[in-house]
Amino acid sequence: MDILDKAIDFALKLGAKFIEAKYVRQSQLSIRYVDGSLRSISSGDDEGISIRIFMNGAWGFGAGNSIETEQVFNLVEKAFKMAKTNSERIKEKYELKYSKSYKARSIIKTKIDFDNVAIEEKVDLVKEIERSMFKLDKRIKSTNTNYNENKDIIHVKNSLGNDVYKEENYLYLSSTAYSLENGVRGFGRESKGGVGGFEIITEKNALEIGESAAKKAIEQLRAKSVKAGKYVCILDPIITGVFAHEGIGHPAEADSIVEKNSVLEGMLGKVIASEQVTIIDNPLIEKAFGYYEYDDEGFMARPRKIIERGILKEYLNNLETASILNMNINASSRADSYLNEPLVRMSNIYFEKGDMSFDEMVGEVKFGIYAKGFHYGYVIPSNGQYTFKCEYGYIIEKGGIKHPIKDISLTGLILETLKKIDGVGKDLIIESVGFCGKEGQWVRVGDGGPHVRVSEIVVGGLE
Amino acid sequence: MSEEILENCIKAVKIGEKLGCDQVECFSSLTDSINVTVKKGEIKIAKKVIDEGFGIRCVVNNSIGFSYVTNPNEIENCLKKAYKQAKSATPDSEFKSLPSKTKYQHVYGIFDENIVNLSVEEAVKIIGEVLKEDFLLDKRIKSINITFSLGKHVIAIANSLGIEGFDEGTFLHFDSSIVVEENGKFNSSEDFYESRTIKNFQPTIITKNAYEYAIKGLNKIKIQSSKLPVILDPIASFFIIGMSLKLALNADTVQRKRSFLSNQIGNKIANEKFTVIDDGILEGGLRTFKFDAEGSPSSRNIIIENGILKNYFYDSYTANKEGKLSTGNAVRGEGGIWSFRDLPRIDSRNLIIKEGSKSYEDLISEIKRGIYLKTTYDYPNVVTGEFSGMINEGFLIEDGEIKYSLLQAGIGLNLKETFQKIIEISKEAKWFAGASLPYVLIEQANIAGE
Repeated sequence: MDILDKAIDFALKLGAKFIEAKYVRQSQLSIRYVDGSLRSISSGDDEGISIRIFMNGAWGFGAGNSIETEQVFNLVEKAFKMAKTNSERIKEKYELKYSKSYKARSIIKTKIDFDNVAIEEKVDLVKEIERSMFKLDKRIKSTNTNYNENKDIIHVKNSLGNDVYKEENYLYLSSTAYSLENGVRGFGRESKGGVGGFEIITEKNALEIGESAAKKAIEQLRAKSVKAGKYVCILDPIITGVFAHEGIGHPAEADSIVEKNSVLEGMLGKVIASEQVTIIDNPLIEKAFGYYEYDDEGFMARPRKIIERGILKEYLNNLETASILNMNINASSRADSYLNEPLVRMSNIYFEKGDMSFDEMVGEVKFGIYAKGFHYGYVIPSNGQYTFKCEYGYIIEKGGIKHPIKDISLTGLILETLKKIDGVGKDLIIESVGFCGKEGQWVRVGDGGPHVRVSEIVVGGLE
Repeated sequence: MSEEILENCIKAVKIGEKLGCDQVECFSSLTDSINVTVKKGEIKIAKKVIDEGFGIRCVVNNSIGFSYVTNPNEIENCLKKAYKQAKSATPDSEFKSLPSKTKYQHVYGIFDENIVNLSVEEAVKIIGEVLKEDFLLDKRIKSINITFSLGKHVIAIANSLGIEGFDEGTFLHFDSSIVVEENGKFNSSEDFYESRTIKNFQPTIITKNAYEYAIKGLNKIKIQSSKLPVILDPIASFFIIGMSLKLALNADTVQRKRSFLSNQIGNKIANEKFTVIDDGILEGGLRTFKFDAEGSPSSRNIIIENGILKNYFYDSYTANKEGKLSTGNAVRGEGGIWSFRDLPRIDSRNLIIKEGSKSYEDLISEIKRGIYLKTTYDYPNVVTGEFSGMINEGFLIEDGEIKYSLLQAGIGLNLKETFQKIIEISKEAKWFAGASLPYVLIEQANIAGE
């Protein structure tokens, strides 16, 4: 794009050491149903430019909706002034460096373009999902379903030679069901999505979303609260994925290493988990929600083995962190729009599969918990202390799955728990559809794993 | 600028009418801001962001479609999308009309030329000066994180019923957080400031507050589970009382009977010391504009008077359902920036919990044993009327003095009971997230410890 070249030339003339210019166009449509009736159909088209300028360890950033030369030059000038003023104050100076630049067009294929499907058809689909939840059981009292489709075009160029044009379309659908019986409440959530076009959703898998959400909500009604204590825990692929994302992925983001705010700082090459544990973040899984071929700085994606057979191997790095830490860039830079600068982010993070079957895993447990579904949770990155609230679960007794339980919250220290993993299943699933928030930016991510067994986790909570 | 942004809205409305919309509305916003981020004690990045666009609502046969666009050359296409979406939607029999033509009263103190004229270099310099302060040389400080943003926010609205409005305000947000470490023990604290003007902005004092509490909280103890009186800091007041009011008094939630305060108008729902006003025209208020996000006039409304519930928060849709006037509580987006990307939703404007007569030092000095709750980031459940959350930052008060900070403690409240148990309110108040919040003494709460 002409305007990107002009912006780069102008910044170099001003005296910038490095400039990145990016054009972004994002279109979206969303349909929202609440309690069986249509709440809203909304759509939007965003277009804009972002400019990032680097001077001796400091960044200036400018973003705007106009792609007219005069306005873009104004942003370049502002970004340059900020980088320059900043660089005069900064104590830890460094230079940006990388060995290979990329020129590419990355257009992720879609079989059915969103625009070739009538809005009415999409609305009907969502309506059917809502109907299916109420139909499943009278105890379902409230529901909501969201359909969202997106088309992103990103063209990023920088003064070191990267020039990457990307088209990424994606879609997701999610349902929540709330149940009520004799004053006891339950809820269930389910979602599905992927990178591509309308082919991701079929009538069959759409209705499964509603059914699954409703079944979870009903199952919770007969669940008993779990007694606090230490248990053998089997985590389902969803919690395993959350564990990989929150517990390992965030601390492995190299900006938290640079900021000395990560439990994984100084641990490269060390044993941090049991030998059965391999955790990979891989942007190149086509069916996963965090799929991309090039990151938002224009670097080519590749799988990152964060933990291999228990040993910490690699952090997630972008241009900035790789330059500071003297490591390799591994294409982990993502921005949610032209309004924000790219940050170090995950893509699709998962536990690699092992060799145990689920039955073997359960069969060996005398008394424990099978925890399922993720409600919410967090990890304190500096010490790895985590709390994960699960949607529901089951008691395991004498090698068999028994009655359902609720209010399960798992707590502990990531580095201790990783060493207590004594079983990794062979049933790898990477289907989670998620949006990860960091510094106010939300990007699509996938995560998953097989069933994983931990010999001891503290289960408890506020309840 | 003002004429152009409103003119574009008026033009869009005319195109929408021609397309066949029964009613049409165009809302436009422009946010021009500077943002400085400090991480680990260094300015990591400074940003200049200009975000402008148009959000259009089309009504066809009582069905609504919404679409937004950033490029003004694509407004017609945007209208066509909104129109098509409205045609694809199912009619909402409860929808009566968008707001009708009306006059707005002038509002004061929401625009500060000094903020608009502040250069990016000056913004960087302000933060650079804070980082030079001596107290930040304390070796126990592990991390200093600051975000500073300021700018102007311009809004315009026009609809096919004759609504035409334009207003502009400035904003300044500052957030300082300090992490400290001593003998392997960590603690952190955070303090905030927000204003329409730069006049009384003292970033050093805010940063020092965060530093002092971070140090004060290093000495942590676990406590036994018990029932204790609790003094809520303004930030905790926001997350417990402010959020409860925002969510539970939303007329849409109330009409759907999903609020524990449904059907309570005229009832005594709180202690007589508790008075709440929601004021969309408050001089200098962070949420002050002449009109709300769908063009209804802003107004000052008494919500709770001496414990008696007087009103809910209405937009035009929920007001029409009950044959009432909108209270001017339609907003868009989050955090006081009304974005063209969002449909209107209901929220409070400048939410004011009326101050009491005692100083907060007096409140603390009168407590024999109790809790000073500084922050919790959990939200109340307004369906059940329960609040249960982690005490993020809290202290044990003993014999009238703030002593140890609490390790791994939680707080549980029944909101209905809690409102009745608000027995004292301080004379000091602080602005946070568009609300004016005093320190509040709750007679008794469940504290979960060991």
